[in-house]
Amino acid sequence: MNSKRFNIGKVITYIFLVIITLISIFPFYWMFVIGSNDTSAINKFPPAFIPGSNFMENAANVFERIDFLQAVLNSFIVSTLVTFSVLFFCSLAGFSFAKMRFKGNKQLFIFVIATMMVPIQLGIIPSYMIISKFGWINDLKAVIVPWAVNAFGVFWMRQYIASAIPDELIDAGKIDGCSNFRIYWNVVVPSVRPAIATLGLITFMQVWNEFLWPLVVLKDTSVHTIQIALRNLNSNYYTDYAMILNGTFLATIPILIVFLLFSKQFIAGLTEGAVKA
Amino acid sequence: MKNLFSFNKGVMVVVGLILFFSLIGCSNNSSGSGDNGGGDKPVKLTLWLWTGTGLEDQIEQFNEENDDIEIDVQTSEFAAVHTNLTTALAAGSGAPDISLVEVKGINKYKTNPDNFYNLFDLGADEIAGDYLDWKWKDAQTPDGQYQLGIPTDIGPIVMAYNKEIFEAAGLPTDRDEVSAMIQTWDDYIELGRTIKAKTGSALSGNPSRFYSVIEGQGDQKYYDKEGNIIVKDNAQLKKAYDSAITLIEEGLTLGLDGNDPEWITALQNGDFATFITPAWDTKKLTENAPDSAGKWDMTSIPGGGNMGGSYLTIPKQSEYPEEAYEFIKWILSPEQQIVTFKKNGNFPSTPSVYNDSAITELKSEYFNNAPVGSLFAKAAEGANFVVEGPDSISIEQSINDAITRVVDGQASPEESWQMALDEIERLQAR
Amino acid sequence: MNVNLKTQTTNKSLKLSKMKGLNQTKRDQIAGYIFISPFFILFSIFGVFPIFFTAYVSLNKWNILGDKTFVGFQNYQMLMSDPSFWKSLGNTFSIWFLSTLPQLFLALILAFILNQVFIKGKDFFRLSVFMPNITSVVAVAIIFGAIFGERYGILNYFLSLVGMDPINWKGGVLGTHIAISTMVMWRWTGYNSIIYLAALQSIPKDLYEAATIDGASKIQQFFKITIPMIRPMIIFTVIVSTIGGMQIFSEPLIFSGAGGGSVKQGLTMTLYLYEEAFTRSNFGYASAIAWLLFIIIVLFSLVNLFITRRINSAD
Repeated sequence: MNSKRFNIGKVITYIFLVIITLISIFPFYWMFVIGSNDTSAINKFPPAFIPGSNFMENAANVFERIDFLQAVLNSFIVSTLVTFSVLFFCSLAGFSFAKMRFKGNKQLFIFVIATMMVPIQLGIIPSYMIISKFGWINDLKAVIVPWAVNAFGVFWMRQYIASAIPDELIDAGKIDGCSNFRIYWNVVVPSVRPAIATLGLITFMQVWNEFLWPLVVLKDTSVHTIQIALRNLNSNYYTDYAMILNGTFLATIPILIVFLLFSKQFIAGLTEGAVKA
Repeated sequence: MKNLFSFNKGVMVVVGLILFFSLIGCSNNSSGSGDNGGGDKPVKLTLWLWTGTGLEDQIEQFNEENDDIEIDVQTSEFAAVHTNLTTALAAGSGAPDISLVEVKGINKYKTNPDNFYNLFDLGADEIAGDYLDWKWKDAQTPDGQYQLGIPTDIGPIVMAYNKEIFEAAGLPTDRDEVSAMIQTWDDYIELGRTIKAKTGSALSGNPSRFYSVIEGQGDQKYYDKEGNIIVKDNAQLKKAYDSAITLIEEGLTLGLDGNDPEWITALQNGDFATFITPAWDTKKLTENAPDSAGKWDMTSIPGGGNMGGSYLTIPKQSEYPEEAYEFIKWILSPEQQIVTFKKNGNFPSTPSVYNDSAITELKSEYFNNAPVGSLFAKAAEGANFVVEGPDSISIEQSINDAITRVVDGQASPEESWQMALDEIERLQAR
Repeated sequence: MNVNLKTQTTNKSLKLSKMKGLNQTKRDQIAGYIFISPFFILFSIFGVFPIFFTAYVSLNKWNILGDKTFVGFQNYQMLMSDPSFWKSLGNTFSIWFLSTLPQLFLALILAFILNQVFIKGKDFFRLSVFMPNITSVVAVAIIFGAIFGERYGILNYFLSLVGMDPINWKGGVLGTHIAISTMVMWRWTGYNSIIYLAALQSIPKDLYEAATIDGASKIQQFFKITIPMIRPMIIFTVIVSTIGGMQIFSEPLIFSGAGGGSVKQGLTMTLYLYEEAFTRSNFGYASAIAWLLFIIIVLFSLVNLFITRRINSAD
């Protein structure tokens, strides 16, 4: 519209974006550089900045050392199940906290937030006791069920729904005789697509990259997630950085794909959705 | 009050579901060790190892030769094996049938030996004579009644040195001459001064390593036989500390942490002349600087000694201690230790094999054909038994921090030492 | 379990809506509780026990491997006079302050820019901004180690090119805090801007169009429309990053090691409690740290919530 007036502003904006992009991407690029060199390249001074020719060799080493595909499959199962479950339960709870009138709404919501404030590091031992009581050690359930719904997601969906959906929309649904669940499913969910996409992406990625808890409960190779498997590339006596970063690089590619899949959902959706509904 | 009342239904639902899930939980309550009934099926034993032990082939061989026992290896990182074992012991379930434990870990676990089987009850006294005495005792409670682990490898200490730097400094490069030149640690420091003056290179990369070697050569370390902490009064520690400080103050060390990638950069640059190393750590040179093959040589250090090494243990949670012990006895027998050594370089803890040709004739091309086998064996003989205690790890950390503070210019050597003593004292209060 | 729960809830709410006997308010109430119940069920199974267990442990002198004796509040008393604890508290706040404020502000601006109509290649920029958070911690550790090394670090190499002395980033307090904060900012700015970006989608576009017609500049629009409209989401990010910042663990562990460095320059509270529990076996003491940390986070979150509300409603 105002293209002439904002020309300089636009140029500055682009320069800013490009700088941020370079800073953001560089370590990922460098991961590829080291992953395609031999290990001594990382320790040279100044270090290598151009990809080498050892990528396939390093990748072959990764595949020989760990069951890469099995681990990726496990991670994929865990991340996908957790993501779907988080999206459903958190948006449902978020909707309830944001728009439904029931006694103790506010107090319970504050309680949900407070649960996020408990430091998790020490919870490892008591949580381990519970999981082991259930017989879930070395079982993917141990990393799926406890994560199936989380305070972060509830908080996020509640805030988003509170600010994005006008009460009138809900009331209109009620006057039409819709059940609460129907309002949630037909009115709320379509209107908060960007929030759901964002939560989905964040959840998927966090579960994919999590290691503290899986490390404790998943010890058998057959149930290793990719982050745990990658750790086994790290020999106690000698660290082959080229191989490790190669494996890490390969393990990041699935998240990139997920990002691109979610990507279309990030933008818009809301305004049209809200108006139409 | 009204609030509470209408909240009741929600509570009922929640409570109902909790009960439901806890019932599910209790009904399939199986332990992590696997469910082996009687019958012909082999007993399945889980074994925790960390990465890089090189035992896999032998375990496979064992599984093939034994129909009644099957070893299932679960590998994690070094630190994770120990935290996972601690977690499982604290939680009361989930421990493996056999776990590898490093010597510092053993000293921590020794305070509560009941978490493990007493291997004396399983017949360990019969094989005690096969192992180095000091190494064996390290996995024993102070009263000598309770044996927690059987020794795997040890880490005899030698010195690798960069011949090119020695040559440039006008020093002899022959390993016997070098060894003759450093009869004491003062000689070693003197050597550093010469190298520094002639070439500008540092003597060592990591001052803490120098400290730990000297520290380990005393009769006592942090604890006396009664288990009292004696850091303050042990002259050997202060001597080791002062030696490390001399290196730092005279600029004879780069002051790097040995686990830091920067150390490797320094290695590749050829920025330091010597590396005092236990057997298992020589891979740091051979793997990180493969191009330097032949540039390095190896010789003995004054006094010899040992650093690190591990044990196989059987946690009490295991249902099959006899079978587990049978496996341990086999894989850590002198015959098998020599196999592991040939394959992976883990130096045996069984002195009877030190005359084996695999050791006496082992030469390393990387180290200019040095007879590394006999160098390690000789160093192992110099090692002695030192009492360790439950807090050895954090005491060592406090003293290492003291050295690092001096490197970083955060405190004067005396201040820094005092800070470490204060901290060690504080830790005891908990 | 997921599937079960899902169908259960669905069935129930469908059934409920058909129950004629209940009036609307009552139905809303029950549905409200049912919708939030999954969280509370899961929390009561996996969350409640650890919290109470930790509280109980904190009242004991408890070796993680076995022995325990009840000591009441002795662990808490010892903490009050423990210099390492106060240091870890100071470090945590210092790193939080250095990283969180600039991070959230930058993230908001970035989101605002990425939401502009004229920007081409949005998908690409969005992905790149998010890359740091995807990049695995292992790689981040290696890379930041290489950047902030004293002797052979890239940053000191550039400093030497412009004639400056090398800085010992790892050895000193300020250097460590700057390095860790940089790492935190690098990892989490894009993450927060993705969150803000989602928030911006909830603002009707006609608001901006109207403002543009009225002659409001982009900067005015940012402060007068964007910020007030996404207030709940700003509160969300402030609370979440307060909690995250107070529990910061991976970054200091990567940069300073488990002990936090020689003068404990990188020792944060979570690192300290982890170290106490797993290295020193002081389970009771570590649990006391955990509880104090919990209380500190609650208080600090309330303070931040209060400030955020004030700022947001200032104009």
